[in-house]
Order: sequence, then structure tokens, then C-alpha cells
Amino acid sequence: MSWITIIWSICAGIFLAMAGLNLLVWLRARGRWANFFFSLSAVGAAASAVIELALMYAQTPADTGFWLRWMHTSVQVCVIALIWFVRAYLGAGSLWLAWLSCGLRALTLVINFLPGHANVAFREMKPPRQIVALGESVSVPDGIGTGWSLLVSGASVLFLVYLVGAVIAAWRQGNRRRAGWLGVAVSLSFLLGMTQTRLVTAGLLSIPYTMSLLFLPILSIMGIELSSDLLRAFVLSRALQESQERIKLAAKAVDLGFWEWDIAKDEIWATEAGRARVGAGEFEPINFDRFLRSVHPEDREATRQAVQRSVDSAVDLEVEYRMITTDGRLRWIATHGYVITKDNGAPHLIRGISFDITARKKAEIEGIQLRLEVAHLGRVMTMSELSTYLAHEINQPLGAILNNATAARIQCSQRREGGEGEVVEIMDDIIRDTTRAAEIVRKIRGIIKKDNLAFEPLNINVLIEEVVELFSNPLTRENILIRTDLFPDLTQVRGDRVRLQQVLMNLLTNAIDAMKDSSTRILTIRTTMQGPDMVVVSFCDTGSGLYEKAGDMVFQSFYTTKKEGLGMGLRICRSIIEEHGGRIGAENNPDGGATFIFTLKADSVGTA
Amino acid sequence: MSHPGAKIYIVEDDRSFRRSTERLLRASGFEVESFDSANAFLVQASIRHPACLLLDVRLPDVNGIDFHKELREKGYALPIIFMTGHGTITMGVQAIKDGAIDFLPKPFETADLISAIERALKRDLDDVKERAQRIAIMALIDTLTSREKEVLRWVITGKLNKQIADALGTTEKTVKVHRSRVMKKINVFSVAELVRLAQKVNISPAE
Repeated sequence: MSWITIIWSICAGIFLAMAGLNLLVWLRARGRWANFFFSLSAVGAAASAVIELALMYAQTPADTGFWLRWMHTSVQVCVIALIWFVRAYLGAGSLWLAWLSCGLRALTLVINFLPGHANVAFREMKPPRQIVALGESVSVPDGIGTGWSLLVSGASVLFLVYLVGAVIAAWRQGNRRRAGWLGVAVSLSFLLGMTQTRLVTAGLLSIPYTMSLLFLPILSIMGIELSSDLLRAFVLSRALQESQERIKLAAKAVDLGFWEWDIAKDEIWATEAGRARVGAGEFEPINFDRFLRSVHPEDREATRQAVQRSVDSAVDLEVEYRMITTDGRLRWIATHGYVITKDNGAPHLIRGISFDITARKKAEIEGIQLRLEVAHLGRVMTMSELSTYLAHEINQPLGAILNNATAARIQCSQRREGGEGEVVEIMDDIIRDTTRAAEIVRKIRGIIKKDNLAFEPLNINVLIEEVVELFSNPLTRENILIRTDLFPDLTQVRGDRVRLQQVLMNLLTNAIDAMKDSSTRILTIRTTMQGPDMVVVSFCDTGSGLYEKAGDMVFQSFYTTKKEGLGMGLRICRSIIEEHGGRIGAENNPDGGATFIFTLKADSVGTA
Repeated sequence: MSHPGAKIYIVEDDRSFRRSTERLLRASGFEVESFDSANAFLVQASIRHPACLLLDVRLPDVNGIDFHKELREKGYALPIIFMTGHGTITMGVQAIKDGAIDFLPKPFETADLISAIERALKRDLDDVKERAQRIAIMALIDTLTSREKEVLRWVITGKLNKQIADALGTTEKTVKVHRSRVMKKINVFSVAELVRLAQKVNISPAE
């Protein structure tokens, strides 16, 4: 095998390899047009190399003419691709010069294939000249030239102008390394190629065409570029790995789970913490159903709806739910996710994080319980304090009266000398103690009556909303759905805010307690007007209802069905409502549960 | 039942109740002395037995239960009956545990009060008798020489004279002499009697 065959074949091989590599890069990242055009250009160069080789062994004028025609074609393809490569690679270059250059080159190609010409450079081919290169005899095309070759030269000059313009623009933009190397390499090979072709065609130089070999400097630029890309990719992948490790560590430290749900495929990918929560093994596939099964049954529907909402309207997912772990512990989990949509706007996947909020939730629930207990304790304390006070204050005079009466009785039965005087004294004491006891009773009634009664105009709707807000946590915890149907144009009532709040809270607490064992837990609070001067408030629950025939008894003191109840709540409610000139009543609903209704007198403007 | 010389102390801040109780007890034949505070009782009372104390639980200066404790710590040997206008069960249990005779909620039946007082006085009388007896025994034991006291502690172990002599490093005869002298001085006729008396004044057997 000859040197020439070896060198040109190797060149063609290298060009094709680079073409393939860049094509691959472009296929992976369609935005990288520089790689695509370079690939095209390299294919052109490879074809040129093969044709040059064929040309060197062509023996007849017909053969050289044929190969030369194709040689022009491949070189034009290579250069046109190069034009666009320069633009894409440098991100600069005049667009109209690029198009003009392309147009001119397309024109030379048309001329190249016009009948009556061997190709664009020769009108007629002569038998090839034989020269000696690298120790063997090779052919160099010879023939009668055409004027069209000036067009080719013109196109080349245009390309050089375009190139210099693009390089200068890129240099100014600060892209100096690329601009410098590419400018030097392309212009050098181009000038060399042009000069050599001119000289060989004119028969002034006796060497074979080496157009394709001149492509090598441009190729090396791309080679360097590719290897630096490779190096960068390697560094990036290391950095990525490290950052992933760091994230993993951080995620583990705060028990954070990352997850991603491919909606169409219904596949969930999750990190270790996430998988562990669902209770799935390392390689067990997880889908949405599998995830949902790990959620606490009571939270399942709400979680499903939240996810559905996110998918339907592409809004961020935010949901808190309970889970039972494989070892039977209850955990609270919070999940935040965002929806990633396809180009057409359809949700494609949801990506997010989930973390354990059990500690926070526990503190929250304990806080609520503590608050309720303190409130309850407060109520019991005042009740017991009141009864202690009453007992002490009343029993003291009662005890004295009893003792005095007994003493008097003994005196009388003994009929002692001068005993009458003492009996009178005893009687006086008895009278005084009796008055004292009566006074105490009167005082206590006074205390209860006066206690903080402050009447003001109130909107009962606002009061209801406040109390419902206050109870939002226990209501959520007990899974109670609260419906408020509040009459918008409700007339204000004249009442004591604290006391009416006490009534509302009492009715609310009773409703919650009554629905403890119900499967449906709905509390409807409704306000309406009855005539122009009566406001009606009703609490309708789906609880256990009242005992049959309990009727009005529920409003009496010490009537209770609760284990820890005092039987005072509704009694107090009734006194408060009656103090406000209203009435309170209760009845069972036809379809289960009970309804408590109370009325309040509306505040007539005239008397306000 | 008569109570010659018995004295009832009342500590009660409510004047009306105090007067009525005083009156009732006088009519029932008791000698009564009353005070309106715990401090007044401590300062003014001259205790004469047999006696008992009617104590109100809620006093202006101190809680009755605590005052009971204070009295015991100060060495007052006085049975106590509590009276209260608002007693709780736990309070009553605590009072009885601490040695109170009774815990009477006001208003109380006179019969209950009298019965409690009688029990209290009986307890006090027994205590007084016991104390007198102990003093008498102590006086007798004081007449013994230190050697005789030692022999006494050996005799009440129930050991034979020979064994006692061995333990004390003396002769059986000497022990016999000491022993008869102890019996004579303390005025008992049997070892069993000697043991009972020794127990009363907390003399423990030798070891």
C-alpha cells in the first residue's frame, strides 16, 4: 500500500469519526447546532478526501472530469456547513453575508452540473498530467479552464470577509479564545487551499490536490473544544456527585425524603427515607396506589383529593397526613411538591419533598389538649370554689343555730334558777344567725347576677365565626365537617359578648362530644331571622342525639350523660339565654343527631 | 355521765359559733374555755386534765390540721376533735390518721359532739393514768443502784442467775442478793410483773 493511500484514508477516517461524534452530541442536545454543522462539514471533508484519492489514480480525462465535479460538490457542502458552523460556534457573523455566501456557492454547484462543462473549473478535460509525489506517480487533472472559476474565487473571498467579520464580532463580545483559534485556523487553511487550487489548476504547481488535508486544523480546533468539554463534564460530574452526597446527608439528618411521580407511567421514584416511610423495599416499584395504602385510612381521601387538585390545575401540592409505620407507630408527614408540565401544558410529573412533622404535630395537639384542660379546670375550680364558699358561709350560722337551740332546750328542761335570762340571750343569737344566713344567700345571688354583665350590640354571625375559628383544631382532629349557613342581613342583638360566647362554646363542645362515636360527623350552624325582632341560632349535629323523652330535662342542673360532666353546661346556657330575653330548646333530628335552637331578641334601633 | 373536773377547750374564730358551742357544752355540764385563734390558745390556755380540744379547721392564723401537728410536736397531750364548715374526705382521713378523735362537719348533732367528747376525755384520762403510772415506776427505779439497774436489765431477759453471773463476771450468790433487793425496792413479787413495768418505762432487756 502506498503512503498516499494511507494518509488520505486516515484523514477520511478521522473526519468521519469526528462527524459521528459531533452528530451524537447534537442528537443528545438538539440545541447545539455548532456540533451539527461541524458534523456536516466533516462529512464533506471526508468525501473530499476520498475523491482526492480517486482523482490521483484517475487515468482518462473522463475520469478526472467526473471526480472533479464531485470534488467541487463535496467541498461546497463542506464550506456551506462551515459558514453556519462559524455562526453557531462563535454566536456572531453577519446573517446576510452568510446567506449571500451560501447563494453564491449554490450557484457554483448549478454551474458545476451545467451541460457543456466538465465542471465549474474546466470547460474540457485533457489527459491528466503525471507527477511524482511521496515516491509514486499520481495524476493531476488538466484541461481548458473556464471563466466560472472566478466565481468560485469570489465566493471564497466573500466567505473570508464573512469569517473575519464574525471573528472580530466574537472577539469584541469577549469570546476571544474561540474567535482567535477559529479565525486563524479557518482563514489559514482557506487561503492555502485557494492558492494551491489556483496554482495547480493553472498548471504552475506540480502537486496533487490536498484540500481535504487543509481541513485538519479546523478539525483540531473542534477536537480541543470537545476534549475541554469532556474535561468539564468530568469535573461537573464529580461536583454533582459530591453535591448529591451532601444533599443526601442533609436529607438524612432532617429525615427528608425526595420523590418524583411520573403521572402517565404512574411510577414513583423516592429516596431511601421516602421509600422507608411507604414501607417499600429497595427495588419494589411504588405507584400512587401503593403510596396511598401507606397513608392513614382517615387521611387517605383528603390526600388523594389534594394530589388530584394539583394534577388537574397544575398547582403546587401541599398536604399533611398521618402514616402508620411498619412497626406500628403513628407519624405525621408533610409533603410539598410542584407540578412539571409538558410543552402543551399537560402535567407530566410532580416532584417534591416530604418530611416528618410528628414532633411539631404532637406539640400542637398537646397544646390544644392543655388549653382545653385548663379551660375545663377553670370551670370546675370556680364551681368548687363557689360551693366551698357557700358551704362555709351557710354552715357556720346553721351550726351555731343548732347548738344554741340545743343549749336552750337543755336549759328549759333543767328549769334552772335564773335560766330564763340566758335563754333570751340564746334566742337573740339564733335570730341574728338566721338573718346572717339569709344575708349570705342574698349576697351570693347578687354576685352571680352582677358578674360581668355588659350588654352591647353584637352581630351573632361574627361571634359564631370567632368561636368556630377558636375550635378549628379540635374540629379538625375529630374529623368534624362544619357547615355554617349564616343569614347575611342578620340584625344585631344586644348582649354580653363573653356570656354568649360561652353559650356557643358550650353547644359546640356538646356537639363534638355527641359525635364521638358517629361515622358521619357534620355540624351545621345556622342563623335566621324570625320576624323583624328575633334572631334564631341553631346547632344541628349528626351525633348520638338526646335520650328519648329527655326533652327539657337537659337544661336542668346536674342532668348529664357524660362521665366527667357536671350537668351544669346547658343549665348555664339556659340562664344566659333567658337573661338575654331569649329561649333555648333541643330536639332530636328525624334522621339522627340533635338540634339545639336558641332565640335572641334583636336590638331595636329605637331603644339602643 | 358526769365529768368531774373535765375541761373542754374550744378554738374557733367565728364568734357566734364559738359562743353557741360554749353555751351548749356548759349546759351539758362541762367546764369550757374558748379562744378565737390558735395563737391565743397557745399563749393563754392553762391545760388541766382530763381535757380535750375542739378545733376549727379553718382558722384565721393557721390551718387546723397543721396546728394539730404543731401541738403534738410541742408535747401537748390533748385529744383533738375537728369541726369544719366545708370538710373534704381527704382532709378528714388525714386528721384521723394524725390521731384526731373525730372530724365533725358543721352543723353537727349535739349527740355526736357529746359522744366524741366522751371518747376524747376517756382517752385523755387513760393517758393521764398511764403517765402517772410511768412516773411512779420511774421514781422506784431511781432508787436502784447502778449495779441493781444492770441486774434488772438481765433479769427481764428471763435468764437464770447462773447465766447472769457468768455474763456479769460475778458469783451466782451475788446476783441472787441483787435480784431480791431489786424486787423488794420496786415492790413486785414475780419476774413477769417486773417485765411488764420495765416495758411501760421503756427499759429494754440486756443483750
